[in-house]
Amino acid sequence: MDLDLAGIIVRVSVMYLYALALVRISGKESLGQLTAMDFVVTLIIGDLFDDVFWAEVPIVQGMVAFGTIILVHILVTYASSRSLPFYRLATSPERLVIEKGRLVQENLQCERLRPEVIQWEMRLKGEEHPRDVKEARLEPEGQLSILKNNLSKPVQKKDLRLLR
Amino acid sequence: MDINELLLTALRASFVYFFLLLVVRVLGKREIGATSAFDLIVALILGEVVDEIIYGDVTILQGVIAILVVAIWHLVNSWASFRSDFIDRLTGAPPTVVVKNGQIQHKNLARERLNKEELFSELRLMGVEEAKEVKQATLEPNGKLSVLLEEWAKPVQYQDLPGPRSKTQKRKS
Repeated sequence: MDLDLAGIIVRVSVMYLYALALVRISGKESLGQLTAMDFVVTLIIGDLFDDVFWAEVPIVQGMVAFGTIILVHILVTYASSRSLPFYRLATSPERLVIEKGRLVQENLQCERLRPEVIQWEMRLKGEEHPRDVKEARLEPEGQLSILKNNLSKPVQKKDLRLLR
Repeated sequence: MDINELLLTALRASFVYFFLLLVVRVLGKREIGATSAFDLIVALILGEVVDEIIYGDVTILQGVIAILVVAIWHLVNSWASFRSDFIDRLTGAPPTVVVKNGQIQHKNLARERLNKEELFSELRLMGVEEAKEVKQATLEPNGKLSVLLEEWAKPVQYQDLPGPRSKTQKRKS
């Protein structure tokens, strides 16, 4: 039985170095904008390699597939950094879910979000009551951003004049 | 390996990319990997089916149908648990309170298969030294610990300052 161990070592090494090179070239800027898609792209890329390792597909085909995914992703992130309409098309826009201490029901419905979800997302940010929140948004990354109202903000240096 | 096959590979890869972009966009920002373990599994499933499509082991049509069926089920699931309390409880874990008014809730901690060391490690990561500073610590549905501090342990807020504005507007909590 031919286990082809040497072949595995060669193919894994070549693909590893190829992936390292391409990811370095693509730069960190290409990640971190279309976050849900970045995540899926990472998964796709991870999935493309095993077929090459086990010699189920030729190594060039693996390189082309991997290169294409990276290239298309760079093009799409570049386009969405340049064009707002394209960005809006490719990314789920942010949505206001709390305004002046009140839940914005229709936006919760758009995102299929139960009010409980907002509650626990707020707790994760150390926030207890919606009334302390001026605006909370569900950002494109899927996380909740919270802007507190002025009274509940932590003391800033400019506020120290009140102590004088 | 002839050049046509490589071109086809590049074409299939591009198609798969844009098709998944569409699917991810339609599913929404919280359905892919962000919230629960199961969202992560769905993301992994979607990522895992693509190599066969890109390398031409299955036809594009087969791949598209597999991805669509997973995506549609996930969409139906998310819609149903938004609409129905019953399905929400069936498919998602409720939050568990592990510290209440400075007291560690040992029973709940055990139910979540956590020990005190792990709890204190999480608390320290948030800069909390002692349990008595904590009004409520909760293990949330996404598996993270949330910490609400006791009133006295909170950082000073604008309304706590002794200025003329804050005196009149200070809120009871």
